[in-house]
Amino acid sequence: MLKLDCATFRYPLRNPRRFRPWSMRLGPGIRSIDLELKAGKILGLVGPNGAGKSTLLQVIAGLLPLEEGTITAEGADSIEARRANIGYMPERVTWSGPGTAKRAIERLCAMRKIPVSEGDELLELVGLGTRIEDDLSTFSQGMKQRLSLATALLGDPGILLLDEPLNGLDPVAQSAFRVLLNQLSQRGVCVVISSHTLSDLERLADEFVLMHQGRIVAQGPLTEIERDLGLKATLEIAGLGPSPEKFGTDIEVEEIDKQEGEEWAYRLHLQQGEWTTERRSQLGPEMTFTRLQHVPAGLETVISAATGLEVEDAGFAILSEVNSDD
Amino acid sequence: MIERLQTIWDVGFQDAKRHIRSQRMIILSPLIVMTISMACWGFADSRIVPAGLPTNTPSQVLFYSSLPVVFFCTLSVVLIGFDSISRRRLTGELAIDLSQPMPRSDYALSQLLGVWLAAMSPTTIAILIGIFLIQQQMGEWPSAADTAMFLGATGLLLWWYTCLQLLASSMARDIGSSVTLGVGTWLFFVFLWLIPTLIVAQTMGIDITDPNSVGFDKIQEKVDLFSPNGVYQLLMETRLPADSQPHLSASSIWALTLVWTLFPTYLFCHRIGVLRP
Repeated sequence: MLKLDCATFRYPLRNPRRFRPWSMRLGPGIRSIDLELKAGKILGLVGPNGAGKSTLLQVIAGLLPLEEGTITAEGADSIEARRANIGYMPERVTWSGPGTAKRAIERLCAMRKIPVSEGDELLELVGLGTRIEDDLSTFSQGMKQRLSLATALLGDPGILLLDEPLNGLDPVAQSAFRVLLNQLSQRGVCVVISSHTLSDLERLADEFVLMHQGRIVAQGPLTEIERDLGLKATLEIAGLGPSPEKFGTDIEVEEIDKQEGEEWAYRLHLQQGEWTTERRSQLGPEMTFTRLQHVPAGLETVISAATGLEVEDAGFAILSEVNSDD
Repeated sequence: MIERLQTIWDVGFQDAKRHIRSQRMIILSPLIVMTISMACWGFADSRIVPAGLPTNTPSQVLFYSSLPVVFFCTLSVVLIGFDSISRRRLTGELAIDLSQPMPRSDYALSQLLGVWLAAMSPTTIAILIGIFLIQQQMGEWPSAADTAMFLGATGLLLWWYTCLQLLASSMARDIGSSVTLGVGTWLFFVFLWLIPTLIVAQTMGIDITDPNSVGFDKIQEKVDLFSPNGVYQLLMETRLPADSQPHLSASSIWALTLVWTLFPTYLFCHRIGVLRP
């Protein structure tokens, strides 16, 4: 559908010298990115702040030029043709008035040469049907996010690029958003969704791309990434009745805080392999579970495993990037 | 090609409607209408025109009535355009705009059209009212050529300012810089342009203290070719009687008009072409 080969882009930064005050140098960005977007897949783009996720999305959306490498898209011979098949939702668009959601979407319909009725339908779809004539300055952050999503869906794009779309959405909207993305993916839309937390995307994405310092450090399904990096697969269980007595020799057991109504709760770290359905069922078929969920490794743990940095160093590397972003 | 022009018009027209409905235009539009129409009314009344100011024909009245255009209409372009790009850039809307399949040069033209139409609408109304008032005062209509020149040259002046403002707005990283760049450019051409003119004349050994010096007039006209207001005034002067015509040839004035129209438009289109949202 769309393929990136060795895609590189670095932001030029000011680097004034005594006799060359206009001098620039190349700063952070993305380096040597090889990536293939396939129809009907949801790709989770994960990494700490400053990892290059937004830059990568902007490069794919045709907003930033490539310094090196190529992007090839099926059936697109120009950048405009590529953009016609891409819907891009930037991070935190603070839509400001004067103007209404209807006017904003009408303007973009004109740019895409599509009927205004399609824009109205999308506003209905994202739950803004009753607010289309309200001034944008009265919108909450969640509503603004939904408007941004509607603009990304204009023109029925084959590739949807969503930059931190869950920010500002309440849990109900997040859940509706996940359902919508699953429906789109079933219709053959390729969705690329970025986040700085793995858990946000765990139940949503088919595959993950883990980024750090502008490079892809791991790629594939989450369990595969964890296995390739030699991380322990972790399961969180809780339930009612008698607590399980035996877990097996290859499982490291950690007791955790119980939630309301639970009589016991554990975190189980598998020394080797994955938490397959069969293995889960061995925990105790006669037991009543209230919670049984896979716990993804923290971002700093995965980064540490992928880059060879100590967990603390990886955490500090992430932290220092967050601070430099601010 | 027609389809592309249609898209540019559609987007530009929508932006113009948004600008016209904005609070700043609601305040500025009556000011523009009032000042231009009142200038036409006043200059057409020989009883109140200061002595020595030749306003015997409608074309001369239109020439003097172009003064509020230079002050108020260009200011309206500044006030509409100063944050036209920078605000969208700050809010993230520009990234959405630029990710659409519209070519960036077309997008740039639509932005220019939006701001220009918003400033030109009240100006056109004001000019038409002014022409009617001149007829009421003098008993004769300005000729079609004079009217076309007044409207055309005013349209061009506003286009040049639109290009300069949007160029400044696309370079600004925050609203403060947008205001400074926008208002600074306007101040420079409206109020401070005399300074470079005087410096050039002085450097060339012309007596700048003599108000009737033909040499100074000639130099001033040449320096004015580098200012949008100057070219506008020269264009308006081409419709005056022979003794008030500019010293420069009409072809050089039109050539610079063409340069002023094409070069800033190209610069802005190029700027949008390389802009990182």
